[in-house]
Amino acid sequence: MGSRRGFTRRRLLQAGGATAAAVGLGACGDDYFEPSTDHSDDAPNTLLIVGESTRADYIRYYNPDSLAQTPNFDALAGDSLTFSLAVPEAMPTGPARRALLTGVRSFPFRNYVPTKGLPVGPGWTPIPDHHPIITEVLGEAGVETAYCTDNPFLVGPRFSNFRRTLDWARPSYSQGAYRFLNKPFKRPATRSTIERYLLPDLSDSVEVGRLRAMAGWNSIYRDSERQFPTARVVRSGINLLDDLKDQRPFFLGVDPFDPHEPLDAPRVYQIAAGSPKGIELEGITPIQPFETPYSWVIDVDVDDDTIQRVRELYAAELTFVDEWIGRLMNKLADENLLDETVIYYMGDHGLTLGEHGILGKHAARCQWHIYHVPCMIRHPEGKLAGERSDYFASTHDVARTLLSFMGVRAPGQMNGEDLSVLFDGREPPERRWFTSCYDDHLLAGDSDWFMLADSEGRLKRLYDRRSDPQEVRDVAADNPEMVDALWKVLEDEAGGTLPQFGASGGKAVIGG
Amino acid sequence: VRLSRRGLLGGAVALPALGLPAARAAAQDPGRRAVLVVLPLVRKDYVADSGTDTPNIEELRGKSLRFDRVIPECMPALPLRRTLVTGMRSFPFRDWKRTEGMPAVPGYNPVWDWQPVMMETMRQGGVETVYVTDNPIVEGARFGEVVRPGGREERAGGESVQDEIAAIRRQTKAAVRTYRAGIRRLRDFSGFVGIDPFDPVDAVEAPSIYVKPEEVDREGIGEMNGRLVEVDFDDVDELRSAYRDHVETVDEWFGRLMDEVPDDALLFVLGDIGIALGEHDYIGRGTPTSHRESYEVPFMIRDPDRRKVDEDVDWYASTHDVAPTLLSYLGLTIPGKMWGEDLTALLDDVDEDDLYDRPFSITASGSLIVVRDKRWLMVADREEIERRLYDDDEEVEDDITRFQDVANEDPGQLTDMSLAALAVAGGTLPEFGPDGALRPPRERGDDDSDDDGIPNDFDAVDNDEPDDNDDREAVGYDGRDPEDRPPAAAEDRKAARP
Repeated sequence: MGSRRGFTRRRLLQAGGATAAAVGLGACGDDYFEPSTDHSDDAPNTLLIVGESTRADYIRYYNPDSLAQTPNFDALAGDSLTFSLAVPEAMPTGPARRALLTGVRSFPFRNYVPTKGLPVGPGWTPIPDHHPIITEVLGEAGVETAYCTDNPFLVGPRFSNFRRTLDWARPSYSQGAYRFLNKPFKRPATRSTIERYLLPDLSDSVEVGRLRAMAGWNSIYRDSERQFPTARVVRSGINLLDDLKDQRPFFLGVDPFDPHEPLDAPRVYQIAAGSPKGIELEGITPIQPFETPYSWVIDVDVDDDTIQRVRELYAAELTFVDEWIGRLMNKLADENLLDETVIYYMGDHGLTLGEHGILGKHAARCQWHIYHVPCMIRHPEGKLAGERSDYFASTHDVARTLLSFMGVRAPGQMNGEDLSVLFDGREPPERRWFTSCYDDHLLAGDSDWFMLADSEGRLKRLYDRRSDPQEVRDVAADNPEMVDALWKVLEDEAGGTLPQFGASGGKAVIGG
Repeated sequence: VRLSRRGLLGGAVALPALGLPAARAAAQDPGRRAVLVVLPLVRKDYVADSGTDTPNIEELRGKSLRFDRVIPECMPALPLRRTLVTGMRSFPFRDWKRTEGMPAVPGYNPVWDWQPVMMETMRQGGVETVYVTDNPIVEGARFGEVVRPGGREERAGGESVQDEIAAIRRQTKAAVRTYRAGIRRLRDFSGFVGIDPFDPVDAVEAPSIYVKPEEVDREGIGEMNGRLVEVDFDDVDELRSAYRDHVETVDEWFGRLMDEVPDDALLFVLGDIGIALGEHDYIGRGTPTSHRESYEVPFMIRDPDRRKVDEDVDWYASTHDVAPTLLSYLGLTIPGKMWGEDLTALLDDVDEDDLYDRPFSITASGSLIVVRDKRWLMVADREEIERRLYDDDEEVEDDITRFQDVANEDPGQLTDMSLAALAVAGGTLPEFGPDGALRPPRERGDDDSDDDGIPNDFDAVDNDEPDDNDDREAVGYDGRDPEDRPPAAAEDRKAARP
């Protein structure tokens, strides 16, 4: 298969023995590097902020009644073009990241094979060798690239090809509960330490190990708010800006894993979000209220007060992220970078918090709590500030749009749309419906309708979003034409046929 | 000027205005023009062939950026046209659905409404377009102004090599009448003109594949969607002579066309499809031959600013690169669904090594796929049960080794090439039934273990093993019952949706 051009800058390898030897591998300056393509003369910097597990309705700008305080996201939204219904083209974290970084749709997971070191299920594959990576394309155009994240998949072994395209990689391994995905954490806390987080119904589940790793890690490495994972990620972003400001134009990705569960914000944020209630009155803080990836509410036996508290804990963690993103924005302002930097903020998926009888993320309940994510683009000149677009922006549009802002040609394989044309007063090609997938389930819809089906189409459920915005009444039986139309949209979007997944094992693709 | 800290945390802020780069803003330069000309059924090796007289194409080659190793990304002529106007790969015909009035061969269907169309994107960007062709799938509002040179279809039948000779002559006629109509349109135009000779028979009939009788068993090529015709190769000389006449006539009329193409327009010229003329026991278009020259077509770009004149490019350009390149040259944004690469990069002084990697040339014809690189040529059927590999080393003059199937000697190479085809196809190669691409049947899984009509994925309650907590009411929502949701969900109803 194709040689990987992006690991090291190929020019470096071609430069010949003497030069190559003189350049230490750790060198960061690119003086020796001759870009192979080009960016526009006065390209802006680009900042990509990824909102892991972020529901649009918890951002105040989208929903004034949100439990979370999000003044910084709201301010950013006020300066930005926001997308009222942005839907990731595939979910959850892994496939969404792949689309974000490659600009190539992960939907419909036709290339899925079970992969060691990643969760098992359709969509969980590394970035294939033949896909472009935004940072590789930018790097070849002479743009300085940097990315800081504690996302356990991105810092793990399966995404090393992405990290090697970066000039500045700032991985953080602080997601204690997910350390097993990259490097196992060897000093988990004792069982007694985690009793204060463990719901009785999860007391013999996989969450025990995760919470023990999390508590163990945090007892060693965390003594103040600054040591929380999001703070670490954003701090490294802030520090990177000190270097990047002299290396313009640059691309910086800031991708904190929170507010992913466990919903473990600093205590002050948890208190600010609401008073203890439900099971917390019995001494258990429900930061991990389900067995990953989801639990039925009835199975974990939690009451309404506890669900409310879970929502508050989620809000607290989002507020904590917001606080730190605010500091990042301030740093941009301090360095006079705001008026020459495009800021692109996008969520990768949401999370169900008690709605539809679910806590967590269940492919068969992948409704608006999960698919409706925040998305906004802040233009350096303030163009379209405060405007809203109805375009169904998605994760695979990000790479192409950022490349376009920087005047870099996008590889043809990047099949998202260039949304920067909106700022020139033009419309991107029509996207009549949003389409997405999650594990072996498929999603399609628009602002009026939403269909959720398993990949077989055994149970296609249709919701009328106008009269039933909570998506609880299945009206498929009354609207068979709409169901068929949306199913065809999915088939067309998949290129003609939908892939067929095996019924057992890792659900590997067996054809189609 | 900068955002103040206060301002940012507070909310609304007036933003400073500062110049953004001009590169993107330079879109839609109103003066730009582009011309696309298709050379019907012209093999690359016949253009430079000592026995064929093609002065006009030769002259253009000397003024152009040439792509020397181009095989169309799918075959034959009709599916290839779909790629040309959509910029989407048609390989591996996953979207094939048997279409009324078209042959039941994978690839034969119209442009679907979910595909982008080059002319539509141009017109939306304010560029006028004219497309001269007899191709029936280029029809409708999305294609803008279409000029019909007036070819009629006469079914051929394809029972003997004489029919293939007749098909070549029809292509000649299509070229003459289409170029003649094109000449008139070129005299005064703005924007884009496409001149694309097409024999309408190619839309209603898939070309026959002629093969020597003993080859059918030896090659194991199967029925080829009913296109296979076993013949003795007595008429090959006559066929080649007719083909030479065709290429020379196309060149002659192409010369007249060139007299009208203005110097200030980008000119994109490509062959549509090659033809096997009995070299490796095959005759016809889109055959599973091991003879690379039967696939290769001319492909060149003449830049009005005369950048990259008389240069050769090894990179595997193909049909789907045409639309993105033309759109980019005209200053338009390329729709994301177009898969091809923007070849204006080369005109802008990007080195061919720095184009995005395309290590193999991959194409489909009916249910076959053909994969090649500098050394090897693989022909495989859809399920990749029958795979043939030929040592097609471009450095070697001698043609002898190219007859020998060496699949069993180099399974590693075979695997690499198959994986490359799978990667481009997105992970799987489709299988075809009589009416379209198939989705394999589902493996029997444990769909609904408690037999309550709700598949396990959707079912919160296992009726076979009831639990103390298993209360259907308490689930709140089971996918079937819209009413009677518990208080826990009432909170949702209150939460206003944006």
